[in-house]
Amino acid sequence: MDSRGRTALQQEMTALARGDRSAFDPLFRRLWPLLRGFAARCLTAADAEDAAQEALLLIFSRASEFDPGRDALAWVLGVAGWQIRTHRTRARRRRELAAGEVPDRADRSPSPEQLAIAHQLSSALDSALAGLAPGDAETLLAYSRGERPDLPGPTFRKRVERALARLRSRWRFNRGPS
Amino acid sequence: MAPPESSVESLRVAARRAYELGRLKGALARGAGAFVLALPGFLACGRTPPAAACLAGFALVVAIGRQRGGGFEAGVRAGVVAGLLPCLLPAILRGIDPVLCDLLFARGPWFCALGGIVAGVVLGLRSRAGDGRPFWSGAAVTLAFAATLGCLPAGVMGFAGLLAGVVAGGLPTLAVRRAST
Repeated sequence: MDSRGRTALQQEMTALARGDRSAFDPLFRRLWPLLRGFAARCLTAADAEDAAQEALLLIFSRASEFDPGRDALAWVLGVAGWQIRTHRTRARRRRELAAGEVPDRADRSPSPEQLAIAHQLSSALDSALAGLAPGDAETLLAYSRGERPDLPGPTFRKRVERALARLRSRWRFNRGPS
Repeated sequence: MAPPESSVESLRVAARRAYELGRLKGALARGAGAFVLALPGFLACGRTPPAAACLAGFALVVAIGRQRGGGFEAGVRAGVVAGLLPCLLPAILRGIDPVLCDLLFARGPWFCALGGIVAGVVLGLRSRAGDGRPFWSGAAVTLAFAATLGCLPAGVMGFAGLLAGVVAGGLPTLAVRRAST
């Protein structure tokens, strides 16, 4: 932007900040290409258009807060830069989220290998539970079903902790420390 | 590639809406600030319906001034500064000594006239040669609400004293400023 354009931008921003609505259209015509060009330097073409639009709306929504003592171009580009950074962060998060949602297999049912492992773990857990005192086994089963026997909360929590510790040691005894 | 004309037009409309909305938010915040600022004046002045109307009118005119902008907003700002003393002086005095405040109001309108003189001087100092009707209407309405809120306990005579004070303080200040520029 040349010095004449910069001066005009300063005058239009100042007028709009003071509530002079006649400065709106010339300012819009001046800002839109400026913001599109600025965003295109920082983002891909598709993202740049969106970011420039968001920046433009943000600038106009905050135009009445503009302090005429400040440089209008620096203020406008500061707001736009912030918006572009926000847009870039949002786009990156969207991509990360999308990458996390892509299934690695078309068939989501468990494989025979997974079924065999689950079956083995289930029988190992059954045998570990069978080795516990009946009270501990009942406590753990109630806890796994989300049930709460007629006991105060802290008492039940303590019992669950103790039963889990015993189950863990029984599990290690049956299957080794790994 | 340049975007189509219709999308630029819809963007222009959206930008205009964003501007007006931003201005409205600022106006509501200023109105709320003005309300809080003048609240001690209301609480000190008997909490009567006319005082409540003045308080609401003051907050409203400040909010409208911010929304409209231009000379009207500048006038409202000048009116707020000028009306601050007449509005809050009774509240300050009542905070220091309630008996003294009642005594001063009972002795006649000179107490309000004093506030009016200060308001007139402040208004005269804040005005500029090019200020037109929007500035003066904004300043007059704001000052009227703020100063009336403070002078309500003195009744009609207090209001007359206030008006005389504003004229007595404002006209010479304006004349001196005009002569010096």
